[in-house]
Amino acid sequence: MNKKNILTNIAVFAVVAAVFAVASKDFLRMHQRDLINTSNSAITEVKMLSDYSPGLKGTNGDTEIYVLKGEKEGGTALILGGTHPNEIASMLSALTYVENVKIDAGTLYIMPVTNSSGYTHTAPLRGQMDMAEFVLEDGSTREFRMGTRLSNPIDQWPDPNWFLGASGRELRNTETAEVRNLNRNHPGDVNGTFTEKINYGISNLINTEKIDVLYDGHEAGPEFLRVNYTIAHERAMPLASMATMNANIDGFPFKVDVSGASSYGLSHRALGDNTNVYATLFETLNPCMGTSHGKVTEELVLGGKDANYVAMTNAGKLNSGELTEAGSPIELRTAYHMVITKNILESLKEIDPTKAIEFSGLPSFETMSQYGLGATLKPIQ
Amino acid sequence: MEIIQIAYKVILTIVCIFTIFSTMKAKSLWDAIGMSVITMPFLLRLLSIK
Repeated sequence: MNKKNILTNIAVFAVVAAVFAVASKDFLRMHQRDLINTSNSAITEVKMLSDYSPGLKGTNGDTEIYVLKGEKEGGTALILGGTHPNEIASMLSALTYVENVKIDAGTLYIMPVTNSSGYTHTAPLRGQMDMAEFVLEDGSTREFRMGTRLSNPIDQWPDPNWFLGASGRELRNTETAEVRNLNRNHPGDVNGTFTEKINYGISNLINTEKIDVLYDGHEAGPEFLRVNYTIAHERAMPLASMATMNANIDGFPFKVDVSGASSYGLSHRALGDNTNVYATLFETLNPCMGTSHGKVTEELVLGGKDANYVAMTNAGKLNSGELTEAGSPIELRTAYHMVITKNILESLKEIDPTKAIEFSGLPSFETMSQYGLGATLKPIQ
Repeated sequence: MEIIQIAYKVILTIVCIFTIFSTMKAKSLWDAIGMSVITMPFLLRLLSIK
């Protein structure tokens, strides 16, 4: 090693380090929580998931639970958004509830960012968008991270070759990464993996707060057979059927199906089996979640437009996830989540009149779907 | 878990020392750039562990 070489190599190392430092800004942004407008006077308390699963304290898995409690007694509901962080409509709908709802009777527990760890990274080799930005009516902007459906390997590593967790779902071969999928590991384990501790927090919250109804928001690709479906545990079928039927009467194209008996670890199966909650889940159509879409662009992710799926629809190859040239825009998907959540909450009193959840203040479906999220999101003060 | 964390840091430290040493020993510009790029993910990960 001569001196000149070493000096050159040190200079190269310094330049590469500088390039990495600049590039790491985007990665570090993924670890910063998105800002939420918490000026809603109906928010009575902000809890943390670690209050129900102590092992999460100080980790990326800890997340806020917004409590909106009415003056009158009534039912309790838990709304989950962002179980899968790339399915952003569920998070935006839950956020809309946190920022807007005024509650008269009952209590809402809302987790807009359910798998907080999943928000800190994107799926490798998928060319995912990592950030969505909306321009509000006052000219300000709101930006939201779009992570991926699994917890970050930084928080839970390595994936095992074989796994049989508290959910009863056996994972092997290429599916072992699902050990980091929140919606495969319910009801969780207080001493389990990092993801199972998040699951345990949710099931312990349901048991501790005596939650009556659970809404878990999701999005699915066009190939999935249950798009725009409410999927419910068999005990929750009367509630889910009533909610879906009421939505149908209002003109929404929703359907309902019962949770599969072997859907081990999924919220509608495992939380319905292991707690007393009425477990429901809803899927909106997001072509970016499918496997046949074209290049990932803002038009695909937020506009929900994709020529491949339009061609497949025209060829009659899709079941419930048909896509027209109008696409499946984020405003529509978020509004669908908002509407079916509202119908499920309102239907609870039909099942048990003492469990009424009465609330107001949500933006209308028409406002959200026609004028966009810029018209319904609140500015950050 | 604590032992795994310590072992993880030790392995990362060894990898970083090895790759930084290799960068300094590089005989061409491209070797130096390549070894620097290989070093950075390990170094950043090591520095980011709380």
